[in-house]
Amino acid sequence: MVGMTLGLGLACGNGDDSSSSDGSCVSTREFYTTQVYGRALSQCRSCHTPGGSAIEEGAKFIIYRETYPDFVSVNVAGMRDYSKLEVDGKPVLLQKPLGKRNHGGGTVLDSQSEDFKILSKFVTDLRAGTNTTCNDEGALGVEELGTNETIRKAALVLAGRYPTDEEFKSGSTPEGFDALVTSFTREEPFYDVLREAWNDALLTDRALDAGVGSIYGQAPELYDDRYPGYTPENRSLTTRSITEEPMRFVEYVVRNDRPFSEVVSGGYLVANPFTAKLYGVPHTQAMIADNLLEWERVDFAPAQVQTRNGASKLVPVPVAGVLTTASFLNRWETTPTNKGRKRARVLLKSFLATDILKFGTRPVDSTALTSVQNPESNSAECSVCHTVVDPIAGGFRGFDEGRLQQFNPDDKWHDDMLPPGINSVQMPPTNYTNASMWMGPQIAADPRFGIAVAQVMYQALVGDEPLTFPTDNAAAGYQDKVKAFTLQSDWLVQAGQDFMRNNYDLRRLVVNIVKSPYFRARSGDVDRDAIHSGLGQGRLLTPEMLARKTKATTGLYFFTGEQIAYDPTRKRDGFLRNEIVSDTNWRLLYGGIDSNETTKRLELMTPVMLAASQYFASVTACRATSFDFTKPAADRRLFKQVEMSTVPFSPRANKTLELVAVPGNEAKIRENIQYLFFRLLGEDVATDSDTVNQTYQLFVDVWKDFEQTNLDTPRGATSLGGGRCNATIDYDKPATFMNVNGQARPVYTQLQPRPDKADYTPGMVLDRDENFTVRSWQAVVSFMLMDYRFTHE
Amino acid sequence: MNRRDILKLTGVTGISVFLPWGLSSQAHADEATWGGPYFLHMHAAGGWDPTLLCDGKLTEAGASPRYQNRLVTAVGDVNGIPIPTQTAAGKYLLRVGNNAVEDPEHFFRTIGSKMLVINGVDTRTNSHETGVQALGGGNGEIELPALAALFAGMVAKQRDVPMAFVASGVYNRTGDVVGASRFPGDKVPLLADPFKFNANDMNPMISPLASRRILELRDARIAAIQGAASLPRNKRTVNALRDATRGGGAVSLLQAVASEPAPAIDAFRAGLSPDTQAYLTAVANNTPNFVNLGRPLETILRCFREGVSASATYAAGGFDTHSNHDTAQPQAQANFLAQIRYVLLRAQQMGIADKLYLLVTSDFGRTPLYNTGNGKDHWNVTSVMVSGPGVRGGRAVGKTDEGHKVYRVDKNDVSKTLPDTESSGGSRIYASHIHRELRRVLNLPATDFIGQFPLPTEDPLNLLT
Repeated sequence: MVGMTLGLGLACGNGDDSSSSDGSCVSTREFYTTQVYGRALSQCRSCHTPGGSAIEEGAKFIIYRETYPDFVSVNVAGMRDYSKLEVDGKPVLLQKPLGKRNHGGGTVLDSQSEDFKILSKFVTDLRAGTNTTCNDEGALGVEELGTNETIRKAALVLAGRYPTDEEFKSGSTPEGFDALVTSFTREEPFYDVLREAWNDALLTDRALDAGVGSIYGQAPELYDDRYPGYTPENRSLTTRSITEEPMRFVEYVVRNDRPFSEVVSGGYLVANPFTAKLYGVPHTQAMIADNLLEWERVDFAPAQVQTRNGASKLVPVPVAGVLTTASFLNRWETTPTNKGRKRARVLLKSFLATDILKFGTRPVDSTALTSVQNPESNSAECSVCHTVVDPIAGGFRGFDEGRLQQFNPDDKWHDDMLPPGINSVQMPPTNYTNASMWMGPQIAADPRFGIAVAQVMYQALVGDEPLTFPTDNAAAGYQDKVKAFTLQSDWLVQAGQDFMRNNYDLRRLVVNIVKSPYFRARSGDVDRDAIHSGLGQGRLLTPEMLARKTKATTGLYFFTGEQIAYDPTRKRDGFLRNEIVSDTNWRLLYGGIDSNETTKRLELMTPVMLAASQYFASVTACRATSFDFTKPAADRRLFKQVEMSTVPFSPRANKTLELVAVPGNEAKIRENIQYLFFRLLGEDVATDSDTVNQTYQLFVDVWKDFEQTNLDTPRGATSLGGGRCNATIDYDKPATFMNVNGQARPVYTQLQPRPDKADYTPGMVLDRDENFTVRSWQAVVSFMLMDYRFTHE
Repeated sequence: MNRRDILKLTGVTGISVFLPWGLSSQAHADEATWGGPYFLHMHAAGGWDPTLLCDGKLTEAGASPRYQNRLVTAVGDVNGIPIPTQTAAGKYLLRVGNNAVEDPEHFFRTIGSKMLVINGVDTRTNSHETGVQALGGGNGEIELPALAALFAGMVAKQRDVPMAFVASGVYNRTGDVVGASRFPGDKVPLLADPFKFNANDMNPMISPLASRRILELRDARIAAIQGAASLPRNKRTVNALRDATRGGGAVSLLQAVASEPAPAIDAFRAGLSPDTQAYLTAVANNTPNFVNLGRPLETILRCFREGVSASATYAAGGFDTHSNHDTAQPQAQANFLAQIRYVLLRAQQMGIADKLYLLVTSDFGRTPLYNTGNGKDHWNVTSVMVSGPGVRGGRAVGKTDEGHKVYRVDKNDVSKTLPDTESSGGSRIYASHIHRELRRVLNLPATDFIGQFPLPTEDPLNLLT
């Protein structure tokens, strides 16, 4: 396989290898996570975490919880420093837990306990300067996909297409592989992938009506039917535009190779003609539907914002990437008591890799708080979260609590909250009038930003959320689970650092994810699930991914309606659409989201989804099989080794005769089955394997059935799926649209009529199956499209 | 031939009957459609205020009351449950705007009279996510599967249940014991026979023989892939697919769920409080308000009745009332309590009431005192309601004091409350106690997977019986 630039072996720091009693290497970090943090310090964590009662009372020993990204590095470094502090020749770190040195928490460990011995060993090692590292290459113990399989998977997942033969060749070297995967990220479908990834995190794709633009007072005709020029279509297009604005911002940054940090720090708007009109800023393109995808950078221009009393004045509205878009501000609203904390929570999760809601997993007893004034700040029960959340919430100061995207620089912030800032750095008061423009760059500079972006992209491309630290230290396989977590966490930290070091290059991050074992692990030790946590192929494809894979492999989407609608957002892919995605009912029942009420994707197939996948497979195979046979062999996607005339047996004149095999045809059919297994399912199979044998038998059984039925039926049996599977349209030629009574009606390129009894030549309508092969292949393709390895990747 | 008949035929003859979604050879010969019990978890998302519903309280006397209630002026007793009964303006009713939507006292005297109310539940958190997790799975610290998922997983191992677990709630973690399903709406006819392009077509897209052979081959492939799977992701997704093929045999049962018209409001009228009938029976957009409120629950109950589902989660929002608490909280409770009423009334009509377990929870409670925005913030003390076979309802266990702090209960007799001190020897009621009890009555300890999901080791409390 191609070399890895970001392998697990680089995860540990410098130092010598060290072996444990069983001969395996245990690094300082691993010992810390499995033995010290996960066990010996388990009773110390709740008080010594930032905001915890010990810290509130002035304790210097801080334990960052697992909710803090790269908490291992921070904690080990902190303990290394703290271990040097000694009194009477003994480390304070070993006296406090025994209840000495005025430990506020009293006696926590017994000096004879195993936990204390673990802590003693660790502290002693730290004081001696020990920093054991291990070569973790291969630590996960998995076999990975080969180069071609990885290229195929990457092409399908990133570019929504099947790789060419030339690409399989060019990707066989490490440099070529990187360049190839990078090239996939420059193709149009990748920007769909990108928007899906970030919408899964930010959930902004929830219809925001164009009417929210009224605060700008610039273009009431876009949302108010009392104004001349108003049209429902323009309102609809403006609604779509303002809803999509944050995701289009993300797309703009990557499409134009801008540093990804600009997603939170970009001091400019990304507007299409509709949002530009709404905001009152210039745009180079005309405001027509065909320009809906013309998103371009608009450098700061103050928008006209109405003040609350109805008078108007020019107010410079701060812009900080997606954070100040109307869609983000409305999706994550603020209230007089929420005070921007919801926005801060989302920002922390998606851009600082910090799940503040998990800070509250330790038991709290707020019934003890009744007498505490302003408990968010003054009680450890609450401040553990609020000391983190509240300053960041201040980054949204000035945005209104009623009209959520309206900005008023004179708004007072909440005196009962901690001042705006981040990581103990307070925002300079001079920035209070454009707080988000100060906060955005701070976030982008925080090392957690890289980890957060790596996590979001990891989840999008790999399919699972990053592992969480195992909390049940009595569970079977605990140490392996911790190790798996640590390896993955370290990998994400490294990936994030690499991404930030390289000018926030998102494409580079994607390449690193593709090359990682998390994307490529194929098999491992069946009895070691704990160390293999989060690994494996077989991710259930999202509706969007299944749609792209269907198109990539068969050339067609799944759709049932014959008429397509003019959708200007799909003009770059020929207006093709897939009902798995465009039909909300299909999308939701197949495990997708609506960013509103349904925000988490289903990860496992259910009976209803299975039935749906069978239906998708049946309809797609019905159309794609016959359509593929309308092309010359060289242009086909599915049937390159066979013709419709490639029959396994010679059709009989009557049913009393024996079937006679056609020499050479079985081999061709088997070769095509072999090809389909790799193309559709990513499997390398031999033509004489059991898998191909069984599939060939399916082909033959179906062929014989139709051949027999044809003899049994007076008028023959050559209809294709009762007519449903006829190929009459050239789907490779995009539809054009003609205006009929104000409606855009699609016009398709029709295939040539096939005269009665004429031999079939490519380009003709295919509406009958005299050789019974089209329906036999249809059965094979149906089978493969509903296979586990098609619906999962 | 309905599905019961098909399965009966299969059982008698031992033949493998072909169904368009799967092969019945996978089903047990003695299988029948799941006929209960059923489990429904309804969650008030955001953190409700039980002092306005089933743990009623008045503002504490004195200059510095520990608890304030600007709405309720009297609290009554219904079977030992403290119910708010009066406001300064008259009878205490839960309203949406000016419309009286629910009457808590009427609810607990009538259709809700079999509910067990557990007051003074300590969720040990003021974090939404942790509270949701604690009440949904029984442990705020470790992400256990939702109780609804565990129950569905147990059922799915015994029966073909196409949507064993309908996930409409906020906590739907499955632990991979079952898949989480969503109701397929208008796609049901297409799913019932996925080899037909259109449900009304005469012919399928491929021949019956082809369909049959495809499914045989698919199942063989799944078995082969399952046998070769060595990594956790492969294992869990292929196992789920295998389980899905088992339940797929009953997808056509969804037709009955989807095609039935909405129930008539007249069937509910007698079960509504006289004070709320005007609004709940009024028609908006061709549907009576009560029927409209019950619509998402109606689908779940039909799935239960038809053997399509064994358990479900459902969540309603609007409870996170950090501002304007006295308006917004009763409004959220009004709709939610009406939905609970709908479930109980409709289950009676369907004949499944005696097989239905109902668990009603929220993230946590609301602070005793108002904040500066007339709202109430997060408070770890809350209430839980439970009903179902084997649950002794019509009573309250657990209690809170005038400041809405918990009392403990006697570990041997939960009807006795004790001071909230270690020396009292009593126990606070945690979510894990309730889940341990529910696991017991749902027979989950008998499953082979429950050992993977242990609850915290607090002493059990006999809360339900």
